[in-house]
Amino acid sequence: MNESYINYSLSIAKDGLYCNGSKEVDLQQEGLIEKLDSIYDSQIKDYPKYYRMDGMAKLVFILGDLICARTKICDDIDGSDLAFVMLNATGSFPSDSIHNNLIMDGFERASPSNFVYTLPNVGMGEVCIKWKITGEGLFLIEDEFSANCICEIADLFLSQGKCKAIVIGWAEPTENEGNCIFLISNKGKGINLLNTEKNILKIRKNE
Amino acid sequence: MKVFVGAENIISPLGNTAEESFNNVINNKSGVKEHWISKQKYALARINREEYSYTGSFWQHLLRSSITDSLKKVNVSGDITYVVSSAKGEIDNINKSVDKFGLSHSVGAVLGANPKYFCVSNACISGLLAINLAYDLIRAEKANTVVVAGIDLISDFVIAGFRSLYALDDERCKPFDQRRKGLNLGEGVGTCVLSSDESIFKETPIEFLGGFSNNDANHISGPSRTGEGLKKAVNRALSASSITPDFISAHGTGTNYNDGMEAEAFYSLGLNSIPINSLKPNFGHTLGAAGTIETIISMQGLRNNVIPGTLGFKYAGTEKEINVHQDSRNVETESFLKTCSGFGGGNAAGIFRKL
Amino acid sequence: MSSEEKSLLKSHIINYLNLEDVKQEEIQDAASLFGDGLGLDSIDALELIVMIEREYNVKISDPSMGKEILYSVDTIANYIFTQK
Repeated sequence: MNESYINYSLSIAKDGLYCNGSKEVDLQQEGLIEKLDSIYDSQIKDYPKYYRMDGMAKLVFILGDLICARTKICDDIDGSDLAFVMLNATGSFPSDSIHNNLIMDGFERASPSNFVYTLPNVGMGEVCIKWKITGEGLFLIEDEFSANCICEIADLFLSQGKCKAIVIGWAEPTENEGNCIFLISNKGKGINLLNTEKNILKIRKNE
Repeated sequence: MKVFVGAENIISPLGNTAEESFNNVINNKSGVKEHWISKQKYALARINREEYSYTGSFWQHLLRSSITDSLKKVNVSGDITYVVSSAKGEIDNINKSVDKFGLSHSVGAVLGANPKYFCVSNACISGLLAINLAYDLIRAEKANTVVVAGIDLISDFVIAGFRSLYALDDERCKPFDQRRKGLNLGEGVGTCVLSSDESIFKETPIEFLGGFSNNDANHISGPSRTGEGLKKAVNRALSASSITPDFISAHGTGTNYNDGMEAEAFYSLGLNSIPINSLKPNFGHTLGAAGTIETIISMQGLRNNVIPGTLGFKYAGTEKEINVHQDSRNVETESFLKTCSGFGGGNAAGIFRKL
Repeated sequence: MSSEEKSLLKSHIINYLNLEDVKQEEIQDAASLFGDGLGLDSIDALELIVMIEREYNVKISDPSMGKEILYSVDTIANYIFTQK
């Protein structure tokens, strides 16, 4: 069986942004959105559409953008060979709530720019636009974080030849910590972590 | 390894079985009707809930009923994996204080704690992505038999949203037609079973030759003008199967941009002479269910040697001309290509062939 | 529209479109808002239609007319003025 490797990992913990297990950015803010905005301001700052995104799209965008920037994966392989998969439990809950509240006063109160974010894969679409990622994409909903599912899907996509590398992660905006993203491929034997449940869990817990 | 698909069911405004919906489609019936909400006219394809006896959630009832019907059409001894696709799930729960919110919990309420299942929530391409995922799981020997169900209901949430995008036609939608003004919202569930074991199916299955998805990387709610993502996905499907399909079941929502993009993509791939249809005038746009419902109708087309038409089509209205017919036609059919496109820049394509 | 009113219009544009990093002074009256200008897209156009209805009670019922009306702050201001 082909083994796959975690080439890079990012995790947003209560106290900071961790890259491959080490804290790279200190985060003192209480809430997740404040943390994300702070990361955007200090690390990215080149995608103005960030500001019209809801909490979910911001989270996906930050995770996806940072991993593409740090790994330069889009220089190594063609955009059509990079798969992008994200998972969470509550879908597009932040913009769902906003939209739902707005329309209580009538359909005409809906905001088109909010409504387009009421689909959990749209934040992924923003990352694809910025990095010209044109490969396979998928958004899955799980009851709760599952390292097993992340491993399994990554292995599935790689073994079935759907991609040369996969960016896969968990983006749950109702959770203040534990949101993470991984670049996984068949390359990196020895120097990278093996793609296993145990390793995925360790990275998520910043151990 | 071959992957077979069959045991199909549809519950929609056009019937409670795949056969019923299919017969209504080829008899030019539409579930799209006029509805008035707060003094504004909408064209919606609604299921009449009063025709069903259920308690609690209608969404869960539909999903359960459809899966139950499909399972009656197979003899499975081992474990079953499920893949359920839905763009908005039980979105009305957002107004209730539910214990657990989310598509996976809704599906769990229907399937119970034991079965292994995946939930796909990827806008309008979800249904076909679910079929593709089932195929991959089977080919990777992670599953033997996979039940795929795509389901979405019409809600104020979705109506108000598409309204704000000026994406709705207040009359029946006219895909690929000069007069097209937008989409109609629809609802329903489409279920089918995939397996590497042909013998589990009580009625001869269809062969699924593989499905692919690609992103436009262009705009989050508008397709690439040249249909780059769709072209890639279709190309990969055609290469993997090495066949030229007898007809194409397109996405064809009836919006200006989508239909123009699809025509552009099919034309540039040299597929413009192949009969192309859209089933959205019959079912409306069923979002996360579209990929499964429309695939199943097309499968029925293969079974009955009929190429479904595009109801109401009259005047070719895309810059690149493609082969669209209003009426269904009795023609020997061996295979079809199904495509879907959706918000977030996703595009999916899959090829199905009669055994 | 007076320059004060235009200033208010610009602040509405910034608010409705979440243009966090953009200051009123940076939006030139006659400059194109779409394409190269502020880089707005079709969703922003729809949001501007909502803004114009909400803040000025002026309806744009056909979004395809939007391209001309929404070209710049000046064209928006002119349209609002002619509709009132």
